[in-house]
Amino acid sequence: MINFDEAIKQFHPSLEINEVEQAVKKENAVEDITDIMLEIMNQTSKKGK
Amino acid sequence: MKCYKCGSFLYDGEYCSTCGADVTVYRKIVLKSNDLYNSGLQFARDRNLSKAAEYLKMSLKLYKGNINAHNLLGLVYFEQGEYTLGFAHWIISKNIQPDNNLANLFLDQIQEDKAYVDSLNANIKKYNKAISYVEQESYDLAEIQLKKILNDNTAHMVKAYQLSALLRIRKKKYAAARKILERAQNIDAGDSTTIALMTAVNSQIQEEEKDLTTGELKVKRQQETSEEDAHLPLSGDDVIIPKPSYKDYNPTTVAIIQILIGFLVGAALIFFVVVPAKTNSIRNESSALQLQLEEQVSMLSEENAKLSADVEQQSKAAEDLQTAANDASAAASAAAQTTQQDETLLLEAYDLYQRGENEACGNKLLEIGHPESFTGANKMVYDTISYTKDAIPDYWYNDAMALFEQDDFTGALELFTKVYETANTTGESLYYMGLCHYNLDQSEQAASRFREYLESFPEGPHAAECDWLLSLL
Repeated sequence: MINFDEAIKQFHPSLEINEVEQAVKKENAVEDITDIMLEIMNQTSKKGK
Repeated sequence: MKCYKCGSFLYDGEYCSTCGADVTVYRKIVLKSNDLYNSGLQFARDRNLSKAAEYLKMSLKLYKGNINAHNLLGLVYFEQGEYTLGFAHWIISKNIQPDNNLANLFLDQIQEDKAYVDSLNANIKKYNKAISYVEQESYDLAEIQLKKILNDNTAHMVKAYQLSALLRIRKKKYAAARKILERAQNIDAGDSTTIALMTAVNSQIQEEEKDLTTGELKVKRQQETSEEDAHLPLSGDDVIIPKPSYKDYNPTTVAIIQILIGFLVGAALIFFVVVPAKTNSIRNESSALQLQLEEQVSMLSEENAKLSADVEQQSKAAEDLQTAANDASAAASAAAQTTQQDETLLLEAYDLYQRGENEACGNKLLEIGHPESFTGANKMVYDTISYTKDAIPDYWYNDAMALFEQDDFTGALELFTKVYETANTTGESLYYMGLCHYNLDQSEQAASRFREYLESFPEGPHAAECDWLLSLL
């Protein structure tokens, strides 16, 4: 049986189109594996020196 | 694929040919990202948008420079109704690769249609308003806003469908909720919320229908259908449209009326547009023809006038010719008559000549008007006896002198005049004519004769007398 009060919590206001800049920043801020790999490589090279 | 360190294009091999960086791991990461993108693409093609989004997000977590993954994720978000997130991924994609990028096409297409963007924004606002109403527990108002979104076929807001279905479930309208969820699944078949709601709704429906007979089940289905069609409560934004008062007419009658209206409109069009245009055209043609005819009439009038003048000229010429002919005829006639008279006179003169009456013969010959016209025997006769007329002026002169001496100046003047007209060789007759006029108190005539004498015979025997007599006049 669905608990309406619980289910309704999953719904949040949607971003309006004039808030796209905010969405871009948020989506672009995510680090990918390549970033992590580069960071590890930088740290390794520093330690080597 | 580009080198993570220097950005150069990477060829086959474990190291970058430009900077010498080790790209073994990097290459594997990018390839894995592409694999995930491919899986995401397959799910998107199967309309499992949630799963596609999941894979694409994973792809971007491995390699956020994956343009295709950004573009496809943007498209998936857009289809799900997450318009702003969709835009965000396209913009990120465009920033990474400004040229030769599919994201440019998507953004341009949407930005060109401002009405569409406004419509999307309006749907987002309605959804947010519905969320706000739900938070205020104004569920009916929330339903109204959501129904507006659901009625817009261009709006694919999956979460609006889900929220609307949830509100129906709250009212225990499971069948209606199931219909809305089916529509949501048509957009995104793999959305976990939709699947969960659908499962719950189906179990509730099965629970309710478990104990119902077939008839009751049928009635229930009909009720559900009618409930679905029932109107929702009105909100402040709704416009009440009054029920029209028209009746449904028979299609045949409507068709006939439409044909009649069409005919009337056509007739009116012909009457008000075609006929005036045609009339105008005819009028113009008529005017042109009239002008042409007037020109022709004018030309013909000119020709007629010219011909009339010619005819008049010809008539005049003909009249002149006729007159000349008449004159010639008259002259010929007169000449013939004269010739006859002259011949008669010649015969009479010859007769007098034979009788020895030379003076009478000469007088008769002088009466002949045209002796030169005689020919043949007549000429010979005339030439033979013509000497008799040469002495006639002498006879007249002698008679005139006799009358002058008898103071018969009138008779003398008459004879002197005849002598003067016949043979004025010496000027005697002229002198005596002047004396006759003088004696008859005809001063002007007398002076005229004396002057003529002086001009013709300035050394004549009567010149001095003429001078003297002129001085007297």
